[in-house]
Amino acid sequence: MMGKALTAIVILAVFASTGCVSSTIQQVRQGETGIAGHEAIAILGRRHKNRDETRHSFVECVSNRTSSGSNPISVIGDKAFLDSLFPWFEPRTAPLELTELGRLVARPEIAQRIKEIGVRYIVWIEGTTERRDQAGTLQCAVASGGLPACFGFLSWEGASDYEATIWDISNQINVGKLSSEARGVSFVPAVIVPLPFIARVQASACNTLADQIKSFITG
Amino acid sequence: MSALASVAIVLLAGCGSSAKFRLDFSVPKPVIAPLPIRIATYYPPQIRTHIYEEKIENHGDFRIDMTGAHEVLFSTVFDSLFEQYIEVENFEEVPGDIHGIISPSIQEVQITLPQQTRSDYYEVWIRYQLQLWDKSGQLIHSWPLAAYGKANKNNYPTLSRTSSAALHDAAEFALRDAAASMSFYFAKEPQVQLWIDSLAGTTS
Repeated sequence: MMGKALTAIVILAVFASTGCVSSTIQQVRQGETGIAGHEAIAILGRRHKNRDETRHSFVECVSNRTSSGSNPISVIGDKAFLDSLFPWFEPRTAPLELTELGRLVARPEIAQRIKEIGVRYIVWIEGTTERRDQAGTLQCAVASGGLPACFGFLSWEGASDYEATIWDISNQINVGKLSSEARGVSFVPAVIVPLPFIARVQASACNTLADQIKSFITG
Repeated sequence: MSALASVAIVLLAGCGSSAKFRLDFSVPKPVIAPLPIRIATYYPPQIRTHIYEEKIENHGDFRIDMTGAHEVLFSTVFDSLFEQYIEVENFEEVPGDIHGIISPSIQEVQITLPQQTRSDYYEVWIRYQLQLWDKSGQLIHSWPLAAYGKANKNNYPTLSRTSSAALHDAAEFALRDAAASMSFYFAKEPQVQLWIDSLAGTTS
């Protein structure tokens, strides 16, 4: 009896922790791609804007998923790449256009370092996850018996919009652009105990974008 | 009830803005071609042991011990930027084969919190002043170097000491920014460029 109750609670918790998410991915191919076994890609977050910087956790998630699972690609993380080529990819100095990359790679010391670390493509990630249209209220209080209790209903829409621009360093061309959108409504009804149904839009955008990067680069 | 009160106190303490920490800083060796000059650096005491302290009304006390961090920054950059680089304790002990002496100092450090700017960012600004003398002791140039770093509060766990961790990272990014700026723009300062050009005609 106790075991069944525990199972029911676990199932409820699993359902309660996830909400529905719809994802859309788009791609524009501008050049041929392919990657050799000894080559890697660098996945970097854009940091030149004063606001709306891409979150580190998102860039890390895309890097981890691209370098694991089926058809993994060797990935050099954001920090390791920036340190290897310091100070050429800092917020103040990173190339924003391909012509700037061309000038950079023309420097012998940079070309040598890129060759050493084996990076073939740079994937620039830009975007944000926002919480919109929040509605309802949720109030919690400690009752006279000393037990906390919550009542109310809270809902919001989560929206993740990310774009990945892929540069081929060897040929100094922009090979394509991928975009990943995820939408989901989260809600938390509470009658004594709050039950959160969270739509994990950022995780969904990460997974679809990473899978798309893998299939795009391997062709 | 007392347990709940304890939890509430712990959570409130975790959400406080105050931050006190020592800035442990290292910077990668810049990938740059060295300039053909030999430089000595003198670090005045104020840059060696710089501590930033401020009480921000309604937000708490802030203390960033930057002892050693600026020396690490400049020595790492200078070691890559110049053909030869040494540190000196005073101007009298500069060897004869050195072309010039650089002395960096800190003019100002500022921080802002997300609560002050209604943004997601902890921000740190540092303004240095650099002075370059030739080996005869004549001042060649004195110029400011501004550095900026920011850290998104959403990159840190909600119940951790967010302000300390984020301000540490923002300060570290500011120092990296100073290193990048120094690596890029040192030789582009017009007076410095003229001085380097004049050395090329007189030294081997």
